[in-house]
Amino acid sequence: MTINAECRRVRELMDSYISGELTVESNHDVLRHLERCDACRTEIARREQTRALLIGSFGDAPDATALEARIAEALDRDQPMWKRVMRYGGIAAAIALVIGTAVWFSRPVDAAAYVDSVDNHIVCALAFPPDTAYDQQRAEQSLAAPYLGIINTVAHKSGNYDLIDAHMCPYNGRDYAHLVYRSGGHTVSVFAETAARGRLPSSHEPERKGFVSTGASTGGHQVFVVAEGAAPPPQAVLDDLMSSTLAFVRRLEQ
Amino acid sequence: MARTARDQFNDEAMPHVRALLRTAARLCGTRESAEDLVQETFLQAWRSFHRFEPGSNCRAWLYKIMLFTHSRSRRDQSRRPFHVDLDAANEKALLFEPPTPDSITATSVRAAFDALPEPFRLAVLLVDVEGLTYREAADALDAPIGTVMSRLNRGRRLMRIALVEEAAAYGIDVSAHADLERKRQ
Repeated sequence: MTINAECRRVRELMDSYISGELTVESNHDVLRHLERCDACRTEIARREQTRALLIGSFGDAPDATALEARIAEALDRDQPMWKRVMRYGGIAAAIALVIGTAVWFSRPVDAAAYVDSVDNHIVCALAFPPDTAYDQQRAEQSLAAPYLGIINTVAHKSGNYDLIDAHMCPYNGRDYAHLVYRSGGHTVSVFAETAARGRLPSSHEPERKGFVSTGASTGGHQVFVVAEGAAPPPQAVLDDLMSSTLAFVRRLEQ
Repeated sequence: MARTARDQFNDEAMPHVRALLRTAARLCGTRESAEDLVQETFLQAWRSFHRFEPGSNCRAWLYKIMLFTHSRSRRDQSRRPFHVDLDAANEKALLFEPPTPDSITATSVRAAFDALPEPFRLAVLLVDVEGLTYREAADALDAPIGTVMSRLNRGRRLMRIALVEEAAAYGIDVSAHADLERKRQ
């Protein structure tokens, strides 16, 4: 069998024809040639046979059932990155919590915290004249960093209690930010200070000189609300003053 | 209920374990190391499954990971620009298109395939044995499609030349072999 130039061109394309990789036009050219060329029909049959023999020489695709199960198991064990981070992060967080708790409880106790808040209330807040009215400019001039913004955060009125003054109030070595509220003849103080002397004592005198002080602590600050023991403001007012001041100091710590 | 990434991986990737195992067996030589390679391939695929684009060709993607893993573990030359040392006679013979001899056997075809330089062998393996398209093979081999077509062309011809020579050794299709010899001179 002799082959001509067209046969040679078709044979160049033959393997891609078998692989189904020819364009539609080239495919038609090959098909048309094969219809009339015995030599190329024989050649393409042999190439197809060669390919089939090659595939056959690898045998059937091996049974992969056991391997599939092994892979599935390995994938189960191989947790996604975020889970690994969570797992090890969780351990780290637990360790940090234990250490943090130990450090927290090993801090010294600020034994005079409640006493000083009451005493300062007496010497400062109760000394404000009855007709004192809130003055924004005076408050702004009397406050200092980092408490300058406290008057924009805390309530100026809660229940019947009105804010009448806000100022920095050094007392007994402490540097309080002092908010004074008044309703008729009743006065309430809110103090915020850094927790420089240690943590709040776990128990304290319930009433001192007729006044009650309620304290709360964040990581770096402590806040006290001091009111008359006999005629305290409604609990909602106490909660309002305490929570708005805590919100401010928490923002300072962020 | 929303499908998890694992559900998608099971649907997209896991059906190809068997095909990859067959290719891996060819690459590694032993069933045990082939299984290790396929397992490693699927672990790598799972870890980077977030980078897989749904709708693209998962099989080609898996082959790419497997070939990369294999070449990395072997530290062979497949990631470097490769140079195949064809002797001058064979280089010249590649200009000639020998007819495929009659009476070939699986053993002789396999021997011809095994004798191919690795880059040609990989291209022939992926396309002619595993049935990947040229595009898929190019993706899997991380090579331009033209390069893959060239490797295929040369690999197939080299196999035919080997078959012609073997047939001639048994006194079959001696005319094709004579043509081949003339081309070599």
